[in-house]
Amino acid sequence: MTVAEKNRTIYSSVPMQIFIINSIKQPMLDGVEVIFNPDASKITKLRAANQLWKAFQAISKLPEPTVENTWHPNSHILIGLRDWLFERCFLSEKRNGFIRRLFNFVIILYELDPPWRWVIDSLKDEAFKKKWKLRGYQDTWIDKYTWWRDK
Amino acid sequence: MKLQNQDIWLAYPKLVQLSKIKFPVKVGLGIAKLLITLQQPYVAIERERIKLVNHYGVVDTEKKTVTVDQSSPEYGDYSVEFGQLLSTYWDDEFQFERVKLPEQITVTCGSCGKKTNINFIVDPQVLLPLEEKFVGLQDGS
Repeated sequence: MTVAEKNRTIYSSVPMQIFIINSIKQPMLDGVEVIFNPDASKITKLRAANQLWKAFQAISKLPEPTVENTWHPNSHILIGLRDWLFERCFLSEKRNGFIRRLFNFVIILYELDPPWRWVIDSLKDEAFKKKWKLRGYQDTWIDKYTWWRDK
Repeated sequence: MKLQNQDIWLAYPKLVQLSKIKFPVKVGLGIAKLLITLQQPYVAIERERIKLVNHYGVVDTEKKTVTVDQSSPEYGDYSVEFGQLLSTYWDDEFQFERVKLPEQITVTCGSCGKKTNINFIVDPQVLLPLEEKFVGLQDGS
């Protein structure tokens, strides 16, 4: 099996590519552009918010990334990190649901979109070169984080 | 060779387009063999796609068509199921040879009847789903 063939997953199939571009990426790009434009009218912003909401709903239609339906080794690491997180993070169902959807979308972006992969990898590499502080740095509330349970 | 349903579904209509061009017999035969090999799997995949369209689509009584509108809530489910169908590998192994297309083809002049070689011009969109597995150039590329 060639590298190109190995990279073919459900996310790179023609219908999924069309769906991701037309129903998620493009409306998100357009919607964010309008919402953060100070000159845009309230009605235009409302329409953009509706567009963003639809795009967000469309994300939930995407199949959840798994080791079986992805190819990139780093996607597999991200999938492992997602599962690791939800074994420890016990926020409300709504919040966890939101985080999970967002996380899954980032994994899918990483999996199928080489420029996004490049951006995410660059940020990760750069962050490790900096003096990144450990979790809980100067946070006095950590003993009240009952929603987080380390194993 | 194993083929993904997407390879078959994208390639077959393009091969049909290529088959309408007059080629030297060896090339024509190669294309015909490819068409025969892919026809039955293509029809089966297309049948499944039509089932999905009928399931998720809306009937337009005026045009007498069924379409899945991109702005409809069902479009996501349709895309996922169709994506699953296309990313699946066809069960059987395929045996075929890559067809080597000529750079030039011989045509007969409509007015004088003289035969001349002309550069074979084809839309890149036709070749795109074919170049990886199905067709190449006679110079070896």
